[in-house]
Amino acid sequence: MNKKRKRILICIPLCAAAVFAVSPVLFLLTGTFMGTREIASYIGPVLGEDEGFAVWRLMPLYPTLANVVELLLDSPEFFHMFWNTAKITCGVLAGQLLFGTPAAWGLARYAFPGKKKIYMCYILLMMMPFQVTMLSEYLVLDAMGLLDTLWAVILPGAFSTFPPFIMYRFFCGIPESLIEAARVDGAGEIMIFFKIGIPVGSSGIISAMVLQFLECQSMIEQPSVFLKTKRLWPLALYLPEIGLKEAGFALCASFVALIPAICIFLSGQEYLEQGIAATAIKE
Amino acid sequence: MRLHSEKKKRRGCAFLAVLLSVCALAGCGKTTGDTTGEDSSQAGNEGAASFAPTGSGAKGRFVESDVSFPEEVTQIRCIGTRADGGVTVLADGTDAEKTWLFTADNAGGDWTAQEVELSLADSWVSGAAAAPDGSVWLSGSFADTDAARVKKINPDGSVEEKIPGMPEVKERDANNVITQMGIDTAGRIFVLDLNGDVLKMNPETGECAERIECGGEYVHYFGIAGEKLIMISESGIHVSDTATGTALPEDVVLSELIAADSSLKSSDTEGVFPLVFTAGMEPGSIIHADRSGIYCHQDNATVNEQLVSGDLNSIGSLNLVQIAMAGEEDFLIFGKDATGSKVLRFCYDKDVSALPETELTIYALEDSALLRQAVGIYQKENSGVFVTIKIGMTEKDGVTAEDAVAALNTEIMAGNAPDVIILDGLPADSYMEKGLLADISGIVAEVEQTDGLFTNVKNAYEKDGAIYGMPVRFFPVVVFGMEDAVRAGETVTGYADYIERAAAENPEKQVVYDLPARGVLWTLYRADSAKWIKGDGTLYEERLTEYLTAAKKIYDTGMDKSERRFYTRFDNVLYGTSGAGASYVMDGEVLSCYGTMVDLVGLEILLAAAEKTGGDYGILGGEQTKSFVPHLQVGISNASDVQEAAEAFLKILLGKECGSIDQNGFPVNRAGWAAVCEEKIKMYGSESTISISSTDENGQERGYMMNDLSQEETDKLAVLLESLTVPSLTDAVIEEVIIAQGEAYLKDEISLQDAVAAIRQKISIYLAE
Amino acid sequence: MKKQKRRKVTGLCFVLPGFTGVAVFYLIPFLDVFRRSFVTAIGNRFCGFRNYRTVFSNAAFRLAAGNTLQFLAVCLPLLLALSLLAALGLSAVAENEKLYAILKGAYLIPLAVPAASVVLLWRLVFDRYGFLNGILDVFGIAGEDWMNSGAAFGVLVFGYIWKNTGYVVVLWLAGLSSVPETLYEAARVDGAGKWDCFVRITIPLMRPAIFMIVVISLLNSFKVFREAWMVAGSYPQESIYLLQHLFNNWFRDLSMDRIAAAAVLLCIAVFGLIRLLQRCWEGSRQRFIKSSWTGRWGGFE
Repeated sequence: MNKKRKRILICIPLCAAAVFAVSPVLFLLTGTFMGTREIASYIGPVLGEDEGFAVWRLMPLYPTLANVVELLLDSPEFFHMFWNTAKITCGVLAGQLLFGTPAAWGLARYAFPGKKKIYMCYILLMMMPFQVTMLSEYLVLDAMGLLDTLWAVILPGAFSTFPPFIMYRFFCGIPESLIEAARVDGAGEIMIFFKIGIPVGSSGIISAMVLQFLECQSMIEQPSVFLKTKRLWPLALYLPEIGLKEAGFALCASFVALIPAICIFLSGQEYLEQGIAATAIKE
Repeated sequence: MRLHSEKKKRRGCAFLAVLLSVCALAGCGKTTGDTTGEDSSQAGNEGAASFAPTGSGAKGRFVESDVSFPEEVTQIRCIGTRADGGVTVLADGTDAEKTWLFTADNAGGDWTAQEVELSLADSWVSGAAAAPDGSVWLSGSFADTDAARVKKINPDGSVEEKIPGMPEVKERDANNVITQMGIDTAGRIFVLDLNGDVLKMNPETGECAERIECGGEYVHYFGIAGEKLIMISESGIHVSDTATGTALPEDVVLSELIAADSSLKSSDTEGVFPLVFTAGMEPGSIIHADRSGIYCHQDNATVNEQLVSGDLNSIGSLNLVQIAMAGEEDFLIFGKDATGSKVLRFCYDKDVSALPETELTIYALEDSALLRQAVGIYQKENSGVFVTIKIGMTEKDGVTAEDAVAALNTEIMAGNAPDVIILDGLPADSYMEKGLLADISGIVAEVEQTDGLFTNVKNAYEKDGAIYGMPVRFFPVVVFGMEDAVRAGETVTGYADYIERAAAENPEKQVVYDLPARGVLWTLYRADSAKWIKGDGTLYEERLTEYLTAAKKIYDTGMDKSERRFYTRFDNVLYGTSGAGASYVMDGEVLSCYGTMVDLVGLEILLAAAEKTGGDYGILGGEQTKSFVPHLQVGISNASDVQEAAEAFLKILLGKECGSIDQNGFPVNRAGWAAVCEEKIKMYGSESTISISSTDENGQERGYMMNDLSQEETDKLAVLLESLTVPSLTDAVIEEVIIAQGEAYLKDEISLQDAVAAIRQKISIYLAE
Repeated sequence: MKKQKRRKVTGLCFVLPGFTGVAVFYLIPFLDVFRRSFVTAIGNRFCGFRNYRTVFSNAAFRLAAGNTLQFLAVCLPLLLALSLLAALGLSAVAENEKLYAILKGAYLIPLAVPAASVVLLWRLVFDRYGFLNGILDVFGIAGEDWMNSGAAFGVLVFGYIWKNTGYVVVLWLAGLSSVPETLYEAARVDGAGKWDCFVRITIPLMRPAIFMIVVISLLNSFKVFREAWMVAGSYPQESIYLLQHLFNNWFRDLSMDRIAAAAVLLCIAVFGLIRLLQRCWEGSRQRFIKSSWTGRWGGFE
């Protein structure tokens, strides 16, 4: 009995924290289906149009799709930026699959001169905040003439060292016996990578991709520095530009921007957790 | 690592597949996405022209030149093409009270003048069109009678008069008048009336009975190309056949044009049009021109061919009135700008290269009509140079100054620095420090030698004998009122106290010309900001506090913050607010006003008000800060590879011709200043007084008498201008912060301490960086 | 023997394409940045440590560096403590699998929410007349103008905690589960209490994990700039003006020489901080020899 009460006691703050963590998503969800007028009446004080303080409702009083319709049908700008985000994300992920995965495999499974140094480089770069490498990246992109193109955001992302690090941890976990057995069977090294490395390490690859996907969704610094032309901007730069006056529209846009990330999160939560755990723990 | 069961693996693969399909979708979306993007860039100012023949080696281009008329001609009234391919121009001279009909066989040919038995002095011409037989039709009221008339001017100079038979004006008590005229290639005459109806006129009787249907809509303006009547209404373009009056199928090119840029739908100014039309050489083809250039498209075509780029020519700075074909492939364009009306000729020259070899890029944070005119002047003398104007902040894209500066700096870093930089709003000091700007003192000295300069302005920009950037225009903030108001206005604080006192004494009355919060802050900022920043790059907080307090005092005397604002909107544009305010002082509505004075028209209104009320004007803060507002500060990039072209442009901008335009501030060029003054002094000729009436923002009609300026008055202003020694702050980032916080304070959203603290914090970090 | 050698080459072949990209985009240009930190911005003349001196004497830099350090000093312990509590709580309810999964998912959600999506919410919550002050008002507490006063720092800390707790909870949980159950059983047989178990078994065994958790939290703390920048712009309230703001503004202002010097400094600082943490861990490792992790890079290998 005592134990049960104790557990409930633990549960209450845990649940409260959980509600708290999720609340922004709920807020966006409600806001999406509220009319512009209704929102304005709640947040009037913030806009300086009303006395008192802003309030909010859990459910819209007059649910409407007006903002959704406006967003989906009448704002080509939004769509354009949405696709920019999609293009950046896809480019980065494709680059990681193409270059990051083999690099992680090579580092994890082979011994060669300089391996330790290369590994050190990866770790150190992973640790550095963007601001340290900002100027370096800029100089290279400038020399390549890629500034102000989507490539300026995609390429550095495609070679970022965080995903290979995650994959490395997973590839290390593949038992050597499995690979030896394949070698005995006469499989070539490339064959081993494709037939054993990728399938067995797939959860690691997916984990890395999920983490990188989320990272791409909130990329702010890189595009704001490397992209000058507004029509190349990803959504993340566009959303803060919508003023509070258009709160309904902004909420709706924010929510739509959130959808891909949430979908990936829900379908890949397990991998996400594994990926995160892999950074800390070696099995 | 724990191995996963088969099922989980499959789930992982499915997940990956979803991811990849999202990628694929993104790829598909590319086409649609890109199109919208391109549209927006084309509509913007930056888009470089797309030429029919691309590639730098291609030859052949339309070259622009001015059509020059005899000295006596001061105003062009109408141009048109005759049936035989020749051209007709109707022009008159105010001084000579004469009117001429000029004719030529082609655009480059010699003009023969035929004097017309009609003086257009004291008349108001509301519409004009040239007929294919060489006659010109005018509508309006002429000197002999007040009633509306139509005059037909025959090629031999004789004049016939018709009385236009117009339908009644709907829902209004007014006489219907013709607001636009047009004639098709068969000689049919069409007019637009106050009802927004296009009517066909009977050339014999003047009767306008036959209405051309335009979907029941109000027509903003129309154009005629061959036998097509092109009507522009709110919903877009409607094309009708001029012979039958029936609607023709939609013209895709024109419809798309209007859809892309709604500003083409109507014009703010009377007698000029966003789009003008004429028929091309091939039957059915339509030629149209707007500020972006001259275009041609065939009947039913969906492609629009650009013949002349507005970027390359002065069409970009012109308000268009008419276009006419001259000969087989040349054009005449009739338009107006601040210097008056002019006719430009575009002749096809197959020997010049399609794209000029030299490219000169000019950057400005905000667009400026004056800058565009300077480009036009420069372009005429240097047709071998391709000039591109890049605008950092356009109204359309709503970029903040901070973003625009960031974007420019990225460009500069990437080695794409513009050749000529208009430093207004940019961190000019920082550019100088980093060595981005070239020393222009040589050119300045050269201009000073030939024309003379306002040395007080030049000296403010000279550092150790070098000049890295300098305004070509400057203007003061003035205060107007009775003597005590002007005296109080010698310091901004003093003026605010005066206003506060006056408001207490006149509780029922609006004492000062009332601006919205941003307007008050904007204007006082210009009068007061020059001495806010210490030598070590930190802010004088007391001065900022004084400024905000003064702004608050003035703002708070406004009678009713929601309604009685004279200005409902106040864009941060150059605006001679002192003149607008003075007209209220004249009417006795307010006791005093303050604002910028950006041209001599502003001075005229102040003097008119002075004469009526016995008041005077002076410089706001004339004792304390003695600051002027610099405008169009030019710098040349050190990295420019067309240094010479940039310097030549600077010379034009700083030169006399450009200086003789009376707008956007007073010229730093002395010869330009003298020319502007001279123009105004003899402007109204024999009659030295003219009555002006205008409609204010609230739709209220107000009229006043204006006198010709006298030499003494311009001299007095010159002395005042010479006394100003320091430029007000122009860094747009600083201004944005101060005005935003100030606005919150004026509207009682935050306290004075909070506002000053917030400004100090942001600005001090900004300055410390 | 020959096979061994060929395998070496194969390994290199796998790594090379990716590493080339890394070298081209990060390593080689960083050498150039290093060079630039010693030359003048205009004219490329060698100027010794002048750029470094300029950076150190710059008031904005000192402010930003101070704020960033303060932020780390406040946030890291707070985040670690809160998430450890949550992780312990979670493992206590682990038997109820459904609840466990839902709670963990909920904590992780903020990680998935793109930074830009919550900007609007931040503005509404922390406005002078926003939700938070509204709630405080109900309890009769006078609110603050959160974003425009010293309280902005608190807001920033809050945002960081909200975003990263889930991440670190998962890390803690992974660390906790890596401690073999048999050790606890043995300890309990010896009569150790729960607290004893935690202090004497859990913490020591988790040291390498803790090291990584701290490093990862540090890494993520640099990303808090996103929210701060989007909500408050390039010139936020003094107390949340971070190094990232300064870098961004310098960049915009073309101060390449300063950025180069500051980037080298920041690189050294981060590297130094990590080495310091590692040193701490290694020092303690000698006392807890039992640990099964080895290698120079501790938790990494």
